[in-house]
Parts: sequence; structure tokens; C-alpha cells
Amino acid sequence: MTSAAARSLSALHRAHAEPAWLAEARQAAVARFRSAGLPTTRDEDWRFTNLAALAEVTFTAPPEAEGPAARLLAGAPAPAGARLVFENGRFRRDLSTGARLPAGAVLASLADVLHHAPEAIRPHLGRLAAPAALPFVAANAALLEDGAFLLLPPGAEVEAPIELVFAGGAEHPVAASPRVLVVAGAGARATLAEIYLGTGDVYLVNAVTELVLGEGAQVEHVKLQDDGPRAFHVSTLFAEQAAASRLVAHGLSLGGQIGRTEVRVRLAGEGGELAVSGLFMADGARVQDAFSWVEHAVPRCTTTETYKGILDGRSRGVFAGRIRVLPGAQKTNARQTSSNLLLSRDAVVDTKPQLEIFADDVKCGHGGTVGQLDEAALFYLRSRGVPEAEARSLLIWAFAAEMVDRIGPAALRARGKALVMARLPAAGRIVEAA
Amino acid sequence: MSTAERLQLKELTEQKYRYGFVTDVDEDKVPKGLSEDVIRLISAKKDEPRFMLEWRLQAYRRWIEMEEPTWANVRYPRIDYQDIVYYSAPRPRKAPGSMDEVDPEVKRAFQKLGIPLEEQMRLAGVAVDAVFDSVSVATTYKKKLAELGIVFCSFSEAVRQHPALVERYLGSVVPATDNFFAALNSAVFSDGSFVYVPKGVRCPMELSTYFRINAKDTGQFERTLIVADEGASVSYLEGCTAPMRDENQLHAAVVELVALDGAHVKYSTVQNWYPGDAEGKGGIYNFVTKRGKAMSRAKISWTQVETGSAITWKYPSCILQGDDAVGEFYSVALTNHLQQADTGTKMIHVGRNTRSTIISKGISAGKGQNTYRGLVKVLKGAEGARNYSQCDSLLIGDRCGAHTFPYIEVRNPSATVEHEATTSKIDEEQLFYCRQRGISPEDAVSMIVNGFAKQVLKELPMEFAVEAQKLLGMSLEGSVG
Repeated sequence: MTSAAARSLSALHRAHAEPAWLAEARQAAVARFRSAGLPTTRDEDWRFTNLAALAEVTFTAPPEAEGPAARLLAGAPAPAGARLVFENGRFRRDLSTGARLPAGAVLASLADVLHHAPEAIRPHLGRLAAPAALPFVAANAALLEDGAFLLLPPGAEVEAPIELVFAGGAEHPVAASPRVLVVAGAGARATLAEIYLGTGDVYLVNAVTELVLGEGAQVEHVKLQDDGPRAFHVSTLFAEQAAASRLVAHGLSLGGQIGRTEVRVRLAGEGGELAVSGLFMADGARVQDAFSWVEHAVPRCTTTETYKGILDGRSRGVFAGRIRVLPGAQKTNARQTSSNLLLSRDAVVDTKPQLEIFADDVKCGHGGTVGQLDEAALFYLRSRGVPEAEARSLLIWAFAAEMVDRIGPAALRARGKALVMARLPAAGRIVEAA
Repeated sequence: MSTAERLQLKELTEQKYRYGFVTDVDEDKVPKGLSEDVIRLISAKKDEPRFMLEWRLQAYRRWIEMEEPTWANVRYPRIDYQDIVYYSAPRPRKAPGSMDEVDPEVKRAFQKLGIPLEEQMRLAGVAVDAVFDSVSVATTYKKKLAELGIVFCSFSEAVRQHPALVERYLGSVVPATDNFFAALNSAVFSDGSFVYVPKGVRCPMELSTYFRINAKDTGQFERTLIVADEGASVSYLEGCTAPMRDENQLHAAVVELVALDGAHVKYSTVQNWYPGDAEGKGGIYNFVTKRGKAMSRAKISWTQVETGSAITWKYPSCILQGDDAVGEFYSVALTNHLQQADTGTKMIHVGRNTRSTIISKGISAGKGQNTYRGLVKVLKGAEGARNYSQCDSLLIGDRCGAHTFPYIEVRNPSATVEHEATTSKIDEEQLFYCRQRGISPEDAVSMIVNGFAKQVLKELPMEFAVEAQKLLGMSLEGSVG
């Protein structure tokens, strides 16, 4: 391990006052991360995303002094449900809003739970996010201090989306390692949003989320990644679905100089349904990397996966998705699509949709496209007197809108739309008919 | 399906490899293992000019520093490269002037294979350059081709008679040090075919070579080089069968195609080497590097039907170097029993308005593992490049696997790249329909599979299409049940 980033991250590892099992797990994870170091383009899973810019940064622990969260949140509409705010990975109680939850449900900061009732999460913490082969997950496991814990007892239904807001940035490059753990009991239902925002500083968010869906549970997970322009964002979402459960996971990956969003789902019970979608946009020399890995372990599950990328400037977009259908997982229905729009001569896209199938009675397909804005459509708009910038924005929005529209809760959808619009050249003048 | 039918089907799926036999021919061998001395010996035996020896040695020196690739989705025991005989040739004798002079043993071998040389020549008008083990034993129709200035001969002959052409184009598409297996081939290749079609000449017949692995424990290292000069066109067929063996045999061939401005090269393969028995014992390891370079307005078309070999590692590729160049890849890969195939193509778009089409049909039965691995790369200057890829997989039985790993790398916004893939099992309704019309299960499967593969099979020259259809049917009969 030679990079400054890897050295400084492992140096952040501290002994905490915590149960032995957690200390041991932390110890094992840091050893794992020390020996693995940061991934390089020689690793097949990181083939197209070069972390050289990240590797040379020396990261520090978040400062005790108050950070940018309050400022970044100013002006944001009040949430309909609960909102937990984290600043450089640490819970900010003062900025958070509670909400009434069904009986038996728990929503708390992970630090609180680790302090007061660590045994409650012992069976789940790190079970899905096993750090063995994944350096960033190992780093998160070594450094995790805070995050969110959501427990939904069987049948509990939470109507309003639960917002987790992660604000990042400080004078020196800080590294945050938030961990989110959601355990949804049988038939429980909730929407969880992770919203990332930050300052113009260099910082690292290395987030890990673990979702455990009980039988028939329904969870919608919305991730709006709007980190600062110089940030490094790496997040890994793990999910395990019991029979007849339904997980919808959307992501808008818009911010950061390098953004990597991993989704790793295991369909472990029959009749599970998974819908993963992601939109990534990049300009300048930014990189957005969407990685997904779905395993069908049992029969009769469905996966639909849709990713779209919009690349401008000298940016790079990467999509790698793998659907594995294990022996015996008959009647699997899986579909994977990756579409990409290149807006400039220097933008680059690499896509790698993969199917690995060990059962015969399945319907699996994937499709990938890379193209540019339709010249004919652009010409048509121009001929109708729509100025170039507006016409382009309109066509880009037409490509992106489908992905934003997938977000269920209206407030989150509107927020997602605003984030995408803010990145279009003349979005201000696009008015959508109701 | 009734038990009786199942049993019948089982019998059919487990049918033996029909072309397994060993022919005794006197051989001229070098000792096992690989070293600079062995390479010098091979080169000397073949009476090669200095540049060939240098080229081989350079490849060898790089090869010993290279590592065997492990990224392919195939599993096999480690190969001991020092336990292989790198050269074997039928005992040298006067080159045969006509078919009568060909070793009767060799002629009988071809007859057993169902490829009677004379008939082939008479019926199909195909000039056959039969490679028996490593040295060409018969070349036909040479005169007719020579009248047009077309060179079609064994590689060693080309090295002796057309050294300038060989030196100019050898390694120009697949450099000696391209990859582990190509480097090994470059160091030790024994023979192969060479074709040169001069400017503006359209080759009047399909050129064909039958490769055949014979001597026990002999790795086969073929090298084929086809050059179509400006405006020329040529269609080349390659087909193979191999005798039954218990030990795995290594085969690392290299094929290079050069299509200069406006030239067309079509390369078709039917590969039916010994796949190993139902327990996965024996079978050929087929690690092949095939690549073509197409200059302006040139076209390279690969068609392959891969039914044999225990392991197939093969990615016939096109470098679309010139503007308006066209690349095509049509493939049917079938794996049954314990066969493993990791095959696909690379389309590298360099020139403007280059177009490529990929149609890949994978069929997995038994415990076969079939992987499509492909790369479509559009470089920065490839304005208006266009690619369409379609990769379909058919699964027959619940213990096989079908995997699709396409890579798409685009560096130019005006490119349009489309990839589609599907994986599904053989259609029960179609099977049922055929059965209820009185068609036997094995014929029904064969029909459905042939329909599935039709898009590719129709690209084959007629002589091959027939053989390929039979092969598919035979390799799959009764896999349903």
C-alpha cells in the first residue's frame, strides 16, 4: 500500500470504547484495507475508473468545529417526514427533524445505537457488507462511527420518505465513512432517501448502506448524489431480499470529481422483485461510475435494471452491471439496459453489461447504446425558432426525464429534477406541461 | 417426455465423437520442450531465411517473460509447456506432384474424415491445401490460381518463395508479442497457409485448408496469413476435425488478414475438434488469435461455427483502420458435455464512417459453459462509426451456463453503438409443435437450433453450410429432457 490516501485512511483507524466483536471486526477490516490498498485499473471492477487523483490526497478526520451542513441546508424545503443530517459523517442532532413512526420502529443515529444498544444491530451490521474483497467497504468498516439505523417491525408502514442528508467538506480534505443499516421486517414498507451535498472542498465520502428486506417488505431507496465539484464519492449499497419482497433503488449521480455508485443485491427468496435505475451526468474532467451486481439465488425473481449516462466536456462515464443467475434459479426474469448520450467530442463512455447464467428456464436480456443528440430533432427545434442552447437542453432533458420520473415521492422527484435541470445549459426556459 | 424417450435422448447426447482415430505416419520430430535451440532447429529444418529465425527468437524471448492469461471464463489444468513436442512433420520425401504421390495413409485419413480430396476438388471447385499435422502434403488448383497471380501455398513455401511478401505482412496485424499464445505461436509455428491476391483480382474459387492434428502430444501451431491487395477479394474456408485422444492437446494458432484499400476478405471456419468425452476427459485446448486489418473501403468478414474443442479461447477481431471500412462477425458456438467456450470478437473503429456488425449465437447443453466476450471500441477519430451487436444464448438443460460479457468503449460522440443480448431456454412450444407433427425430439431440437443459428449459417459458403448444419444437429441431438 503506497498511496497517500490509503495510508492516511488507515491511519484514521482508532480504538473506540466498544464491544469486543465490533473492535475485532474493525481490526480485521483495517488489516484487509492495509493489505489491499486502493483499487487500480488493473482490477477488473475498476478497469475504467482511475483513482490516481484520489490516491494522492492525504485525508484527515472531520474537525470538531461546526462545518458546512447548516449553510448547505439553508433554503431546503422542510421535510415531510423524518430527516437525519450528517456532517462529514457525524450526526447533527440540532439540524435533524424527527417524525412519528409506527410502534416498534426505530430510527436513530448509528453512533447512538452503537453506544446504547450495540447488541441490537450485531446480527446485521457488516453481514451483507462483508469487507473481504472490496477495499472501500473494508475502509468503511474500519472507520465507521456514525450513520443511520432504521428498524421496521413486521407490517410497519412509513408513509413519508425518511431523508438522510450527508453534507461534506472542510478546510482540510476530510474522509467520512457513514454506514446506513436498514432492517425491514416482513411486509414492512418505507421510502428512504440518501441525499449527498457538499462544499467546493476536496473531501471523500465512502458510504456503505445495508438493506435487509424481510418477506414481502417493500423499500424504495432514492439516492441523490450532489456532492461538491471536487469531492470523491464512493458508495456501496448492499441488499438482501427475502421472498416476495420488492426493492426499488434509484440513483442520480451528479456531483464529485469522481463518483462511484455500487449496488450489490442478492435475491434470496422466491418471488423477489428488484428495480435498479441510475442516471449519471458528468462534465469537465469528472468521472461517474455506476456499478451493479445482482445475484439471483432462487427461482422466480425479477430484475429490471436501467442506467443512463450523459457525458459532456472531457468527462468519462462508466457502467458495469452483472446479473448472475445461479444454478436452480429457474423462471428468472432479468433485463439490463444501459443508454448513454455523448455531448462532446472529448467525452468518453465505457459500458459493460454482463449476464452470467447457470439455469436454463430463464428470460434474460441486456442492451446497451451509445449515441449523440439526434441531429434531426435538433434541426427541427431550431427550424421552429428554438435557440440552440434551449433545444439541446430540451433534448437532454427528454433523455433524462424518464429516470427522474421513476422516483416515487413527489418532493424527492422535484428535487431530483431541479438537480438535473441545474446542469443543463438553458434549463431555466424549459417549462414542462403539467 | 416419456422415460423411453429420455433414454433414447440420453444415448443420442452421449454419442461418441465420430471422427476419432489415429493414423500412423512416419514422423520427423524434435525433442519435447521449448528453448532457443528448439526454435533454431525448427527454423533450420524448415530451411528458413534469417529474418524468420530472428522473428521467432524475438517472440520467444518475450514469451518467456509473459504470463499465461487467466481472465477468460474457462478452467483447465495448468499446461506444462516443456512437456510438448513443438514440431512434427510427416517424414520428408519428394513433394508430391499429383494426388497419386500423396502418402496413401494420409489419403485414407482424409477419406475417413469424409473429406475425399479428389471429390472435394471435382465437386466444389475448391483448391484444398491439406495440412496434415504441420507440413502441407497436397496443394491443388495452384496452376489456375497462378495464372491470376494469386499465391496460395503453405506458409513454409511462401517463406521460401515469397520472402518479401511474408516479411512485409507477417506480424503486421498480430505482432509477435501480441499475447501469450500468439507469442508462443510466433516462436514455434510449424506451418499454415499463405494467400496473396494481387490488386483488383477477384479470387475465382473458395480457398480451403483442412487442418488436422495427428501426432500424439504434438501441439499444433498454425499460422495463416491472407493478404488481399487493393480492390482484390477472396473467400477462405477453414475446417477441422481431430482424432480422439486422452491427453489434452494444445492448439495455439494465429490468423492474420490484411485487406488493403477496397479489398474484401471473408474467412469462414467450421471447428469440430475433439471436445473430450462426456466426463470431460481429453479434448483439444484451442487458444487462437485471429485478427484482420481493413484499410479504406475494405471489408473483413469472420464467420465461425465452433462445435468442437474442450476449451475454446478465440476472438476473431477487426481493426477498421481505413475510412469506410466494414467489419463483420458471425458466430455460432456450441458447448455440450463439459466443453467450455470463451469466444467473441473485437471491433476496433479507427477510421471514419467505419461500420461493424456482430451476430453471435451461443448454444449451451449438458454441462457446457458458453461465454460471449466482445469489445466494441470507437477511437477518437472514428467519426460516424456505427456498430450493431446482437448476442443470443440458448440454454438446453439446467446444468449448463451462458454468459455474456460485452465491453463498449466509445471515444467519439458521433458514434452509434447498439448492443442487444438475450438468453433463454429452448422453446417448449416449438418443441411441442414439432413433436405433435410427428417429428422426433432430436430432429425437432436440431431444427430449432438450426433456426436459431440461421442468421449465421447463411453467411457460410454453401459447402460449409451443409456440414455446419449437420454438425449442430449431431452435437445436440436429444439434449432436451
